[in-house]
Amino acid sequence: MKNFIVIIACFLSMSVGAQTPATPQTKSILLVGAKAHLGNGKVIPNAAIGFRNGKIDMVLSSIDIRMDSTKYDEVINCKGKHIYPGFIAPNSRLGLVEIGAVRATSDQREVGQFKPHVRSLIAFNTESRITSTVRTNGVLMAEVAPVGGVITGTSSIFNLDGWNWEDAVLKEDNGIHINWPRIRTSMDTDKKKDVEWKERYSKSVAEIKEFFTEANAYNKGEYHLEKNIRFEAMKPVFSKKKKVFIHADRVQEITDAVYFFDAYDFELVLVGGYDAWLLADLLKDRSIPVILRRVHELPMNQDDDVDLPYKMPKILTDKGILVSLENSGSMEAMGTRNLPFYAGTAAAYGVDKEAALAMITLNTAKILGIDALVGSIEEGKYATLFISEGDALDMRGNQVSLAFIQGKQIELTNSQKELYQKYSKKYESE
Amino acid sequence: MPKILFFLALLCSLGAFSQSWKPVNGIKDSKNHYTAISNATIYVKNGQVLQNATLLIRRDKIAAVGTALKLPENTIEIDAKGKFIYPAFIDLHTQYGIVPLKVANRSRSQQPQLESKKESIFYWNEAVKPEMKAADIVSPKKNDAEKFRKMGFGTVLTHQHDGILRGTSSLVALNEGDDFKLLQAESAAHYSFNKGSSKQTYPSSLMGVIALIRQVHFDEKWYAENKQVTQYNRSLEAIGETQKLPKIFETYGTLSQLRADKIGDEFGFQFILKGDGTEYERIQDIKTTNAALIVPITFPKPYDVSDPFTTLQLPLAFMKAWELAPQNLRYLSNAEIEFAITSDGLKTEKEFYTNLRTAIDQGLTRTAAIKGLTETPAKLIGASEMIGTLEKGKLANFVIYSDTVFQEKTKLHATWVNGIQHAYEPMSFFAYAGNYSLNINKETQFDLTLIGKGSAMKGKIAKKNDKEKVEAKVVLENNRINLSFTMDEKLFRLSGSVSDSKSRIWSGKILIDGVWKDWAAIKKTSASDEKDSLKSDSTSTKKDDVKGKVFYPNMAFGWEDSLPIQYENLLFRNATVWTNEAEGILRNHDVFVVDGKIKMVGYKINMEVMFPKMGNNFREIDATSLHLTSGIIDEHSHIAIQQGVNEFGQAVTAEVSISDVVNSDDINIYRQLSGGVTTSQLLHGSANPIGGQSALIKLRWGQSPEKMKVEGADGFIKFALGENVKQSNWGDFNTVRFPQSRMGVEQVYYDAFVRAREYQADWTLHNAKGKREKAKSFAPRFDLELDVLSQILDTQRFVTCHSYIQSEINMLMHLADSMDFRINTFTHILEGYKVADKLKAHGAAGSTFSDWWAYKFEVNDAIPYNGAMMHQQGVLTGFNSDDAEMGRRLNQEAAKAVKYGGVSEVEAWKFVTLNPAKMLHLGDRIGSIKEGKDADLVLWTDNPLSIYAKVVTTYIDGIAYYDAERDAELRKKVQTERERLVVKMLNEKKAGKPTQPIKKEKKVLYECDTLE
Repeated sequence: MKNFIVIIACFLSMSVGAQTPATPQTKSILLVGAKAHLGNGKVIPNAAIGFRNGKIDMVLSSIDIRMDSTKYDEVINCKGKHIYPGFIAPNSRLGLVEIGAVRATSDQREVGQFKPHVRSLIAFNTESRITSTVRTNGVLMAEVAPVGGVITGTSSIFNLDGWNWEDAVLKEDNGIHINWPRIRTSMDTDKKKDVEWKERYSKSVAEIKEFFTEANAYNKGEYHLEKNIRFEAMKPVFSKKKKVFIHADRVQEITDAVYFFDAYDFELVLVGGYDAWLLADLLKDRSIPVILRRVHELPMNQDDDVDLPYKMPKILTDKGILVSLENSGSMEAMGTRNLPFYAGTAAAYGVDKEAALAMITLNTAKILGIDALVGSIEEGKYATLFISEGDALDMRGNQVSLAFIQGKQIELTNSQKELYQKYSKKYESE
Repeated sequence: MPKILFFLALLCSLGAFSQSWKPVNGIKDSKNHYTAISNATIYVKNGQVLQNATLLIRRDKIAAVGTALKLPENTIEIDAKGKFIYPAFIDLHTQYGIVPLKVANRSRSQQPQLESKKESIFYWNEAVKPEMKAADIVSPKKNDAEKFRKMGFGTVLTHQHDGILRGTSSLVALNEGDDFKLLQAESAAHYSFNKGSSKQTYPSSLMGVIALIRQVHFDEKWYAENKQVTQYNRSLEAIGETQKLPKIFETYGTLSQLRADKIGDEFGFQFILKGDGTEYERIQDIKTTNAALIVPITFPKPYDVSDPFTTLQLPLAFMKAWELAPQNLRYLSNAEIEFAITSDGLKTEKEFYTNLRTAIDQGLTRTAAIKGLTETPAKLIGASEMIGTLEKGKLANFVIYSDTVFQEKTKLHATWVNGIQHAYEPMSFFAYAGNYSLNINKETQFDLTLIGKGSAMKGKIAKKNDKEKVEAKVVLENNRINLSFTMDEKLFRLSGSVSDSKSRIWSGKILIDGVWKDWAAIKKTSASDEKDSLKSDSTSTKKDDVKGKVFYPNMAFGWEDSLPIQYENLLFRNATVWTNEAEGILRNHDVFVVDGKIKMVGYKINMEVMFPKMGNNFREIDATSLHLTSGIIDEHSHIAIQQGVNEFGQAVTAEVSISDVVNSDDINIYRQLSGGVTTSQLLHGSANPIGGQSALIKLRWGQSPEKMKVEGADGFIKFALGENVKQSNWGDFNTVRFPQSRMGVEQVYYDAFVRAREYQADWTLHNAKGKREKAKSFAPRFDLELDVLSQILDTQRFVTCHSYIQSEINMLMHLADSMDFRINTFTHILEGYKVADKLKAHGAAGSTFSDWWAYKFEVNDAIPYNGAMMHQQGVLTGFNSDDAEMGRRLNQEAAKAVKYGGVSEVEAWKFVTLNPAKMLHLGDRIGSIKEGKDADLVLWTDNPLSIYAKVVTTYIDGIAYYDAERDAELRKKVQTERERLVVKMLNEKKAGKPTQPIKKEKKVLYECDTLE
């Protein structure tokens, strides 16, 4: 505990500037006494969690087992607190955009329609001021995906700490993202427009078909007279090394996309999925998980139940779909810090609390294909976890006091806390 | 004696006719004969129907009408036996003979046009053109009138449908060419909420339009009184000239009608309202306007709901509108609202008749329909002396139908306009259908059967007493007939005409083997011929047709039939009560509510002792394990606003007001109730340094806008600073409106308040003058904008200012200090923590976001600790939404004051309740649970700051406007109502009726920066 206080005091005195990335774990650490929410649905009320060299090597209940704490260089007493696996934000824009309205700070969108070759990896800004305000709420990892066009680009998954993108990346080029074309619905009674939109939709779908057919043909051949980097970037998709994230919300769009991809053996993930609850069987038959659109959102249709977005996680879970939560939409990067509360709302609207937690931890890790590394507090996984003073899914309890990424203790200051301290001093001195 | 008078009257009316100043080419062609249309059923006027009567006309007027009229010798008689004659219809909303102007659409890639391009003798705004006269521009082309005449119209009121003040209309008789005639050059003055072809930026919003209408009338009043000293203005002059005319306001939807009427009330006008056919939505409110209406009979087509999934996007509101539209006239009629019917929006005469028939099927009486097409429109424009009935002396404008009007089989024979006949279906006074005996050359005998009507007549023929019939081709034209058939491989072609006065005998010639021979046919029996009597004016509603009820508002989650206006006395037992008073949070306490007010907060209130007279006149609610709080108050909201949250046409728009454009039918009202919000300040956007006035509403879902407003609340106005007002993010073309920098922003304020000061001084000086002196001098011009700014200087109106950066916040406080007023609230104020001490010293409150930042450059230093820091420095602090979604989770936002900065839960809760109440000067009425305050209460399942808390019930004035249990029922209701209507629409489709594609709700989610 003393140690802990010292650490906190240390942070409070930090000077203004970007947070210095943590150094690799040298000392082994044991966290004792906290209520551990493992992310896999299990809770250990009085846990002992040890990790060394960045990996968890002990997950036990300190009631059941008399343990030898001398095996660890440092023992931190966390009595009365909560331990969580680091939260994961899928489909995020962290590190790609700094100030929404300032064009120069945006690196999220590239020109063109089919851009699997465009990678978020190399644009990820580890100096982002936003990132450091997100991890202080427990979000320690993010899948960062480009936007715009049909195939928006290739995403990568990052730890939210590091000197540069090479340093921060957890999984390189994990998948491509496809904005399935939208069928627009008229807001006027213009029949002609309606037909026009339907035609445009069919045309866009035909373009996707053509792209995949050609990419497939290209990648079946070994040698190419002329290289096509666009199609090259699709190679890992055909070899299942990259997942395919389909962004779609409405019934017909989801259905068309799913049936279209039946022709390929891809690892599919549905992103968005407002109408997914109407198509549960279709998705379940193919084991397609859903990264569900923002929970704190207004219903899309006027007549929808007023709390439909709130209870969507429950509906989908009950139908046997693997659900993860995300935060794309307006103010998406800075709002990522509210991801824990979406899980809280899912719990308020019927999902078991630990299952709700999984929607931002283990489920997400599974869906992104990183569950062997992170997503839950289990032996052998990275020690990417944090301690909160209270229930981290509730604003009332979410106070992150200690956080580790791969065993590295990260700084929990950020530019906002620094301004807070700076101006607090102004008033103290008065 | 009566005969003499009759002729004298005729002579008098002739006088006017002889006065023609047009030279004649050739000889004068005077027509002095009479025309009598006899033996008809004549609908003289409402309540007077003559059977077997004669209409006598001469030239363009009705000379007499009646039974057993003695006809003058020079009368041409037309037999109209069995026919029905009605006054010709009158349409008050047309653009007949006028070229419509196109609505201007400014693209973002054009520089805005800030000023009028018209000459300075016109009003400064291009959308204000009262000087426009239909009489000057109406010029019908050939056939323009035909569409109207085929619907039965004889006269129309026409004006150019363009602009806000549109000028005057003319009453035109529907004859073309030499017979074209204006019956009234200026009949009515026309208004609308649409700026039309004007490309000027102002007004960009509905509230701007409303403010402009007001200012024009103030200006006109001043102009009229000060003509000697001011420049001639054609537009204002025109308003004065047409002051006495009826005023017609084109509106869209019931809320728009209530708005128009309210403007009228302010200036002492009673507008006639041109509606859009949705008046049933709030028929009682429409009734109380006392306005007469001009309503269209355009009904939406059923939606194509064959795809159940796409249908999910179709709101119940649209389905209900489809079902209820044909019932609109019945609603109006039952509510005894005076209405005229217009053909506006109809493309064909078929649509006109079909839709009227549908309306009649849905319960409108035929009499009411006729009245709405004849007497009412005539009366509304003061033309009853000329048109609308078939009384003697009126214009010979009438229609002849084959039967009672508005029946499926009824055909229009002719429309007479000003005594000129336009014939459509021949008035064959004989029902041709029947069995004939036909002979050719008096030798060969045939049996001929004619069935059908008019041009659709079909024939069958057989040799006499032979059963084998063959088809006969029949062509009937007027009284001529062509008949052809093949029998025994021989083609017979007969032609002939009616050859007796009773139209029972045909005779003619036939060419057989090169020889012309005679043929003749005699009718033996007629086809049965029933006619509805005009008197049997029954409401023939189909019984199996469920009509559907109007919801309030008429959409999903609306109240069915009636509103919950009944107060209920409530006793909450054993709740955890967040008082927001010195007592803090009281566990296991009771709260008693009487007549919508909090009566008592106490521990185990003994009703018999404390309120012996109350008896059982209250409902007890077990609130064990529940939390009871006062309702959430959103200091900064943009829900429930119609047609524009920003009037961005100018930098200073103090004259506009959100309270003019409150939209009571926004689903977000209901959604926010479900999140415990009871009161919202609906703010103008942040496009201008000085924006518009706000509206303070309680979320009384279902009520009309006026009934939502907080009674007797202080007036507020929105100011704004920073990137929005300097148009930093409006695109590269928006670089001409002043200001473009923070430096300019200060000067805009300075200039505005200096002008307001001078304005005040002018009025003070004027008001100090004695009566006599006043009469001699000229009063200053009343200026809405400066008047509102003066209210700020007089602390009669209070400022909520959108702000981010400390420098500009500081600036505005200095400016206010220098002008001796106070900024009431800084909203957003994300750098408030940097100047909390200054805010405190100035006495400004801070209404901020919990954790927004990084969306613009000016919020780069925003921190979530802002609320806590301002609060700790003694600034009255609140959290607001500025966002329809976040508005329903403000309880969670309050919790972020605990999370970021460690504010206590009791104080954090006040961030969204008591503190905003105080900012809105309503701290003594709402915001806490205290005896005497409004019973705006929320019952929660949990600590309201918790993410796990859900609303059980939201009360406003003690009335449950949202209740979780009731909501569950409403969801079912929405589903059953949708299913019922889907089936109904599918049936329409099956029956081959044309459909329209699914359309979804036009989502209007305003934020500060929304430019629309």
